Amino acid sequence: MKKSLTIMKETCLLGTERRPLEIDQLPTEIKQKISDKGTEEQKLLDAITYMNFYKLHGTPLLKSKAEIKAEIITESQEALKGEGVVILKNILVQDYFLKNELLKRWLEIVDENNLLIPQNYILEVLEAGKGLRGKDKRSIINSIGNKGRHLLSIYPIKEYPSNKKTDVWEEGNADERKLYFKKLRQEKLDLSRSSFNDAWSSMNVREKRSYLALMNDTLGQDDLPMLQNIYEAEFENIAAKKVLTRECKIMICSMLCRLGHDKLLQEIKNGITPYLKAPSTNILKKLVGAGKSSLDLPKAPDDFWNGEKLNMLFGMEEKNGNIALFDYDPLYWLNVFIEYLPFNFWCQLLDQDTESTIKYFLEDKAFQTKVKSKKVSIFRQSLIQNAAYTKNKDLITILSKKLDGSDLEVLIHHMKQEDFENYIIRTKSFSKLHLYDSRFNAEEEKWSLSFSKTIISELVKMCNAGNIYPSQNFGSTISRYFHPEAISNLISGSKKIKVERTFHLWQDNVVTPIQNSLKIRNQLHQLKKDLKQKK
Amino acid sequence: MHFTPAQIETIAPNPNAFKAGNKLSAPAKWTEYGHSQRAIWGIIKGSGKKPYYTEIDLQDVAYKCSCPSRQFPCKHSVALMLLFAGLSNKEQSDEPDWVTEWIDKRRKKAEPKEEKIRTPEEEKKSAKAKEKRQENRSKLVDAGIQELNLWLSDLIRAGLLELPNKPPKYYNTIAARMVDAQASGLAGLIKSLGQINFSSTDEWLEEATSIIGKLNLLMQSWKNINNLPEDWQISVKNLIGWSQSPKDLLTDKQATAIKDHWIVLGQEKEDLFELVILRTWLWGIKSGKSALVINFSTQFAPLENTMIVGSILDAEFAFFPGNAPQRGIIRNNTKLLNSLPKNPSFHNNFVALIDELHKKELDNPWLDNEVFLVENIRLIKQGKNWFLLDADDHLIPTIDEFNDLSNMKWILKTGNKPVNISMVVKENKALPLGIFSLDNYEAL
Repeated sequence: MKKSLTIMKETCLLGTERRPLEIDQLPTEIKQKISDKGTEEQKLLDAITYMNFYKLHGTPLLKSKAEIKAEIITESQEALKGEGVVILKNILVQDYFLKNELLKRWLEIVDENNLLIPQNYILEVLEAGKGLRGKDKRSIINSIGNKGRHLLSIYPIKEYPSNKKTDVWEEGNADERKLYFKKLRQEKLDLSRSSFNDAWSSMNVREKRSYLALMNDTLGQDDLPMLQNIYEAEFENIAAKKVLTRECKIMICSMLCRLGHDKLLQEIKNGITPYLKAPSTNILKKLVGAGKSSLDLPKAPDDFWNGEKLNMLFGMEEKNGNIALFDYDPLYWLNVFIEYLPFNFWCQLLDQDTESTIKYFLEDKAFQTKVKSKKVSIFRQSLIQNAAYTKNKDLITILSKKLDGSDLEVLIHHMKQEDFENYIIRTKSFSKLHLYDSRFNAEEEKWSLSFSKTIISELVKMCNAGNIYPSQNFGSTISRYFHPEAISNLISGSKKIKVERTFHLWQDNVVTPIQNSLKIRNQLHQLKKDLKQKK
Repeated sequence: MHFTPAQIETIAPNPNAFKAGNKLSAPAKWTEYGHSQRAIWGIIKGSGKKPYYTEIDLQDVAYKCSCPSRQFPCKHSVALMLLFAGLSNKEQSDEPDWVTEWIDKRRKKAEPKEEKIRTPEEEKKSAKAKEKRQENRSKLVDAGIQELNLWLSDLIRAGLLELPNKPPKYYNTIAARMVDAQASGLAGLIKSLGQINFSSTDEWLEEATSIIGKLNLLMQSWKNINNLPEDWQISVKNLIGWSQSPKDLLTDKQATAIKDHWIVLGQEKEDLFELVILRTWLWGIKSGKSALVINFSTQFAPLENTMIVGSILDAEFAFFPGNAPQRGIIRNNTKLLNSLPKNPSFHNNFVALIDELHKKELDNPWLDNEVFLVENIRLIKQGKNWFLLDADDHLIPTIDEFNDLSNMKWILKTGNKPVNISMVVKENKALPLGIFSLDNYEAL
């Protein structure tokens, strides 16, 4: 049969003209059925038909040769039932951010009570939980039971690293490895360091930069020895030629300085100190605040302020990278230092507190220039980037009070709640929903009562003035942060909307989602209480 | 009758409609809702001035909504079903007039109408006209088949090695000729020949010869049609492109019909060019018979899916005539059952299943999509492929359409425990449809 199949396959492929069908080679049963009278083509067509029929209907069943390893999986925990399932169903149909926030709370309850997610909802919860934080994902893994975990071992989802952690690190793809490393940085710092150290030499420079950025987010004092070793082996007194290598070097130097690497800090300090102008002794200058230490940089490169030296030291570009903003090269290099050195370095150097140091860098005439006839502070960006990079709370607070503009938005997530609320009010950014979204998963998320009231009142005013359209986005965003006690203001505020259509939109798109969200929160509160009582 | 959200999801026209329905399924969204033995209904505020009136016939499942949506069922119907699926207190209430009116109208419509009595002369005239129509069509098909025979011969002479290089026009032109010849079944086979994935080095030749073999068998059967028994003639005509009218079948007293408790085992949607084909498999618990309902949709006619997967109907199923009746329609659907009245009979293993399949294939060489119930089956992965494994370690590979999501559902439901299942056999591969447990059936 096998031989006949091969012969027929060849004839089919090459055609009867080039390779006539050898009927004698066909199985007897088929041979007998093919008429002698037809054309060569018809004979082959008939042979194909019979052969297909026998092949399809005569193929024997496969039998497993190897021993099947499929252990029966059972659950020892109970699955959540009743009201808890109804609440989950409700949560899963909410918009992305609200769903994430409510799901997080629901999972906490399930996990705390050692219950399982109902089997019919496991796939949906796994999908919905992809955007949650590591801690919440762990709750999901705990609550999907043995069957769910078995499922993940067969169908790994990259957002849920499996238990075989070393496998992911050694064999996972780039995204899986990064996710795994990020998780290690939060949970097992020692393992993260050893894994990173072992893999460093085999990483390409792009990977190195990515992992250094992840490390920067969770930098700890114990990272110092490892970073120091890398610095000494690969970067110290070596000029970084390529862009990515330079970026890696700057990141390592920056982290070393933040961790108090004496040698590097001292070298930088020694380099800059000669350019420090002593405070004026003039009493009048002191009275008007002009009698403080300041920097007096050379207009042209010299022994310290030169590209080659600063590349060797810190990985800086050898040329001024932004001639529109920085009139001479040393200003450009100082800008890089301001962006990457810990801010207290400058406070100590200039012998001033944080606020005065910021004021000096932002407002000193030497550090201002004109762009399109507008006066700009040349270190504004580096100060903002430093705050975002180091998450220095004091720096963030002061900048949030002093500055506005879209470039400050990178700091929104890291602001204290009070600073964030003040910033929104000061900059009248009530309808800028993306700013509220930037607070997602921040340390504090909930709005204060007074801020919740202010937002409602301001949005109602904007609706009446026709400045905003109360779309669904408003309700979905505000409901995540809204203070429950401001609900009466929400309802009374609605009555102040003058245009009937706007009123209906406001009701449907803002009031209802907020009420809905508060209702689910109350239900979750009640569920928590009920389950506690049952225990 | 209690529907689960998973069952309701199967009748939603698409995932977005289900999601939108889910959002509207909270009781607070509805200004009024209620249900009786035979219907559920509700009134919901929409974007227009007037609210939407939504109603669902529970006995002979059908949906009606006053919203302007062209989706069927619309999100409001889906929402209403979900609302009732989630209600713990399901007290019946009196039907409002608008619901009673619609349901009564439907029942009246379902009653068999008195046939118009024709005079012998009219009968004769009608039969003559029908004969003439058949004759004309047969002539058209004859001409089409002659042309197709020539095309196939040319293809075979030149060799199939040329197939991957042929432009779409090569297939479309001859397929269009078959449509002109009123042989849409042949046109479909030719189009699927053009749709083969020629980049798969091992499989394309096998797929191509399989289609060519079917085409040849059908053409030869047509040439020989007058020598075939009447049932076979009907089957061959259907495969060539003669359509069968569900409307006629509703009133056809001669048609084979079985009254049974029918489980709606599962569905499969197939996109075939501009056509969407929905296959729904049923199983008669008392009779042990399988049945197939096929619905079609085009861009102008939305898919009408009234079969809720996993539901159990106490109904009569009428089969279209043919040599091995499989396809048909539900008629006289009296009620929906909440659980399996008794467990159906299962095959012990795949050997028994294949034996039965081969017996059926002797009666019908075109047999495909045949459904079976088998016990103690597990789903296992060997290499990259998934297989069904029976108690004797025999394997049947699952078809590609049984995708990761279905595999995941199986794993979560069973945890590797052997289960009793329903499955469709398609060219020696399996499409698992659902899992039986105690008095319940859950579709995958």
